[in-house]
Amino acid sequence: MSMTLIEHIEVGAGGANEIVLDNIPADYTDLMVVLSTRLSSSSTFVSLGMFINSAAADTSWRRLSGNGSSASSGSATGATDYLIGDVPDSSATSNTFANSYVYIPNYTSSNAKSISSDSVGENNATASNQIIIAGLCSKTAAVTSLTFRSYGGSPTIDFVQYSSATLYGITAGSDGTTVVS
Amino acid sequence: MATPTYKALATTTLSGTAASITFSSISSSYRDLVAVVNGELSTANTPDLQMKINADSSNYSQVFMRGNGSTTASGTYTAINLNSASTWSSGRRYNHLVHIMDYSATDKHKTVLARGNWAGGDINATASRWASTNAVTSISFTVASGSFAIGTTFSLYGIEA
Repeated sequence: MSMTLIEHIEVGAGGANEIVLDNIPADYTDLMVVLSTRLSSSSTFVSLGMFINSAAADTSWRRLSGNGSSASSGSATGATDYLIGDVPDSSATSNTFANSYVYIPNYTSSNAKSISSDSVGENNATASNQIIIAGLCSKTAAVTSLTFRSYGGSPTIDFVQYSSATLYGITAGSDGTTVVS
Repeated sequence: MATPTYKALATTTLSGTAASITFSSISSSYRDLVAVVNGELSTANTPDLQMKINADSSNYSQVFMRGNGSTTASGTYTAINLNSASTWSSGRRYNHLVHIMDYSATDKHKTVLARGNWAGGDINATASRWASTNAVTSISFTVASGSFAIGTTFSLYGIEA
């Protein structure tokens, strides 16, 4: 099996201001995270961030986004969090959640870790933000912990109940048939 | 809960520089293919990363969109170019995620969705078509000039429906 479920977390009643995937084993080649999230402040959308290990101002990213009427691009360097996307908040249509997908190749390598993610914040109304991100965490240690929270390093906003994160390990290898040259 | 579906087909981590990597003799046992390319170039060139299917030099069409942190762009190519801004170079860690749908079907043209990501420069999303009903049995990754750097990884997976 090349794709292995490592951990699934679902937020319970009462909410939680972080979703933490901790003690990630170094047994795989790549990591994949699938998120379904909604936050609970008074906005329509709030940005979702990912905090890697004990990173400190060593994350950079480029964003490409579209909202149904225009496209835009932005970036950050020296950030604490990796930006994932916009998550529906209390002012968004009830029961709408954001869907996000994060891929981290070669997460145990001694190089900086490159990241790819896709996210859509669904509002089922006039706004829906689709965001794709290219990221880099300059840490050279293996990724052992991923913390998801409202973007910006201050996890004061709660995820609502039924928000979830699912972590998979992807293992590269050979089927004995395919030739690589 | 999603069903785990990735099956490892082949992988290589370069121990020397190379200008091209090819996966061949690909089994038709899966629904889709996923390729992951992660690393750098060994040279200061800024070539595009191009993917070819079954060594075919034509029959491709592509639409891309990209952003560089301040501006956006969209356009077309008659090739599968995975970083349309041609910004890959030494010291620039790119990852590329490539999905090939229904790769073994012989009754449809093949669709390729891909991402090319460099956090220091640009982000690319592409949709491509290979106008052939032949099953995909090989795919190659090539840079027009220069070489992939030592340590760059190429992995191919089969996805079961």
